[in-house]
Amino acid sequence: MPPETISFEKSLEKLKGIVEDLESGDLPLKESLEKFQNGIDIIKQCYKELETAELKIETIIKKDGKIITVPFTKK
Amino acid sequence: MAIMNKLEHISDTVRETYGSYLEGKSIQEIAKLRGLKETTIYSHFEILILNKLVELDDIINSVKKEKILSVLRGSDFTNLKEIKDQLDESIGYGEIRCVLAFVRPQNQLYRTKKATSEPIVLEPENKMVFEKLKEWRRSIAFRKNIPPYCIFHDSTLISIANKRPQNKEELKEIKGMSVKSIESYGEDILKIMNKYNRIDSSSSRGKREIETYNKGSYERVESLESSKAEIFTVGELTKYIKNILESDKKLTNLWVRGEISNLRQQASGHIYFSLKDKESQIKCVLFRRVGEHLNFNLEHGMKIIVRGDLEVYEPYGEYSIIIEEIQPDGLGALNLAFIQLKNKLEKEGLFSNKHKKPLPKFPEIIGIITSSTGAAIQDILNIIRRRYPLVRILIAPTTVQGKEAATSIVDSIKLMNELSCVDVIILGRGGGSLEDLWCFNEEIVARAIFKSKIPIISAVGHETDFTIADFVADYRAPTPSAAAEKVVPDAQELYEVIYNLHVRNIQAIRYVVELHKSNLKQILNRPIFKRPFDRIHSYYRELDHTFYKLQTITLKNTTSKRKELEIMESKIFALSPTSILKRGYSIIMKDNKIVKSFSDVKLQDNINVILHKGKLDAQVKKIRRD
Repeated sequence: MPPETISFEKSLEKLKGIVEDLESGDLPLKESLEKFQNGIDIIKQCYKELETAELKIETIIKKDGKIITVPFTKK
Repeated sequence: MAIMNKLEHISDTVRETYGSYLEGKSIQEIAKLRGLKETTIYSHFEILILNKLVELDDIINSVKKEKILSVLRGSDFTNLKEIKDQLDESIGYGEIRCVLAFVRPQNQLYRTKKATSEPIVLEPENKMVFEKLKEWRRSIAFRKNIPPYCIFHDSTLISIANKRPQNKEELKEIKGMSVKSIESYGEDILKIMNKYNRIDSSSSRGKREIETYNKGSYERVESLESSKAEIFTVGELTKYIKNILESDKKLTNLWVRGEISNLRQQASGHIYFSLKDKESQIKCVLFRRVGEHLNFNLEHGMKIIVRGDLEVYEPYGEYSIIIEEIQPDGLGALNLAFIQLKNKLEKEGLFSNKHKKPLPKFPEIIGIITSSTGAAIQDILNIIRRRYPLVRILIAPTTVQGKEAATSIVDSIKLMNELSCVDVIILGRGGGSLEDLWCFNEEIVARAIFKSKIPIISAVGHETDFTIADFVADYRAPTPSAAAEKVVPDAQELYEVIYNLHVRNIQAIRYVVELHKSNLKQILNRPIFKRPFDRIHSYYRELDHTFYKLQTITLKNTTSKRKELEIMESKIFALSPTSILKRGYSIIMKDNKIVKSFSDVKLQDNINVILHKGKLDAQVKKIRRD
C-alpha cells in the first residue's frame, strides 16, 4: 500500500501520538529516536500533502443501475 | 348629575323605597310590600324630599300640606309633638316630618335658631362619615358584646357626622354625648372626624370625589329617570355583555388581520397590544404559553393575522382577543404550510438534537447535493479548494428548484447513502424567492434528510432563509459558502497544527537525548569509572596478604614435621640391627631366616653369622637345649 493512501487525518493522529509518547520521556533511547524520525517523516509528508494537494472533483451518475463517477467539468 | 349624587348619598333601604315609589306605589303599598311600618317609609320619604328626589306634593295632598305649613309658620319648631298637637288626628308625624324636610332647606331660620331641637336628619354629604361611625360602633359593640345602640344612638352618630366636632369641647355639644362616653370614645370619634375632614378639605367637602367615584352608574340612573327600565349593577351589565360576546360563534376562533400598536410586554411574559387598521383598533392579549412558541418577534407596526377568541375582561369592562396563534401577514398559504409542517415534524421529534449526527473533523469524501450549474457549487468548490484541498468531492447533480426538485433531492440523498464512502453531505442551493426555495420545505425532503446515515449540512439561500431542511439537518449553515467553511478544516490552521507538532517533536527528542545524556553522566561519575585501579590495587593487596599467610603457615608446618622426622629417624636408627651388631651382637641366619631357637637348626647344618663387620659361614657342632 503506498503511503499516500493513509488519510491526512490519520497521519495527524499518528503524529500526535508520537509526540505525546516522546514527551512522556520514558521510552528507550533507540525507540525514541526511531519515533522522532518517524514523526519528522510524517510531518514532511503532511506538509507535502497539504502543499501539493489538488481538489479531486467528480460527479456521480447512475448508469445501468450502477453508480459511477466521472470527472467534474465546469459548465 | 345632581340626581346621581343624591342617590348615592342615601342608604339602600331608602333607595329601595324610592324604587317602589318610581314604580308608582303609594306609601301604604310600599310599607306593606316591604313589611315595614308606614312611619319608617315616611322617614324614607323625608330623606328623599330633603334630597329633592321626591316632590312633597306627590305624597301629601295639598290640603294636608297647607294645614301643616300653616302650623309651621306660626311655630318656632321646638318639637314635633307641639306641631302635631296643633293639627288634627288625620295628620301623622310622618307627614309633618316630610313637610319639615320640604321647608327646611329653604328655612335657614329653622336651622340656626333651634339647633338643639333640630330633627336628626343626616345631611347627604355626611353619609360616608356616618357609615364610618356606624362601622366603628359595630366593632365596639361586637368587642363589648352589647347592642350598638347602647353605645350611641343613630341620632347621636348623625349629629356627629353632621357637625364634625374637632375637639372634645365640640364633642360635648353633641346631643347624647355624656362626659363618660366622651371619655371612653371621644378619642376614637375625633380620629374618624380628623380623617374625614382631611379628605373633605382636599376635595371641596367630598363632593367631587364622590362624583368621580360614581361616574359609572350615572348613565343608568339617567335612563332610569327617563324610562324606568330594569336597573343593572355594573357587574350584571358587564356579565350580560360578556355572555353575548363570548357565546357568539363568529367571535370564537376568529381570524383578524391588522397592525400591531401599543405593544407592551409584561415581566410575566404576557404580551399586550392593540391590533389596528385605518378605522379602529382592538385590544389583544398574547399569553406566555402561546407567545413563547412564536418563531418571530412582534414589533410595533408589524402586519399580522391573529387567531383567537374574543373575551370580555370584567374588572375593566374591556373586550379583547385572546390570541392562540399569530402569523405574519402577507406571506400567504406557503407560510401557513410551512408552519404546519414544521409543527408536525417537530412534534414527531425530527428536529431533536439527539438525532443530530456529529460532523467529521477531517472528511475524506464530501458529497454535494445541488445543481451542478448554479453559483452555489462554485462557491463551495472554491472555498474547499482554498481551505482544504485534500478531500475528494462527489457531486450529485440535482434539481433544486421547481416541481421535480423535491424528488430529485430525495434521490440524491439516497444515492449518496448507497455509495457508503461519503463522510458528509452538503445539501443546498443559492438564494431565491420563497417559492424557489420551497423544495427544501417539502416533507419528503425532510424525511430523507432525517433518514440519511451520512451527516447532512443544510445550506439553503441566504442567512435569513429558514427552511424545514435546516431544522432536520445535522447542521444548518446560513449559506452554501458557510457550509463549505464548516465542512472542512482550514489548511492554514492545519499548517499551524503541524508546525506545532513539529516543534513539539523536536523538543521532545531533545529532551529524550538530554535525559539519556544526564543518565550517562551519572553512570560515568560512579567510582568504578572514576578510579578504575582502586579495585585492582585492593586485589593485589589481598593476594599478597594471602600469599604471605600461606607462606607462614607452610613454613611452620615443615619445621615441626622435620623435627618429628628427625625423632623418627633417630628412633629408627636406634632400632636398626646394625646398631645392635655394632654393640657386638651377631645374627645367625639359616636359609635366609633368622635363627632364634635351637630348634631352628640341626647338627651339621650350615649357618651364616652376620657380624658388625663381615659375615661368617659356620657348621652346627653341638646342640644344647639350655
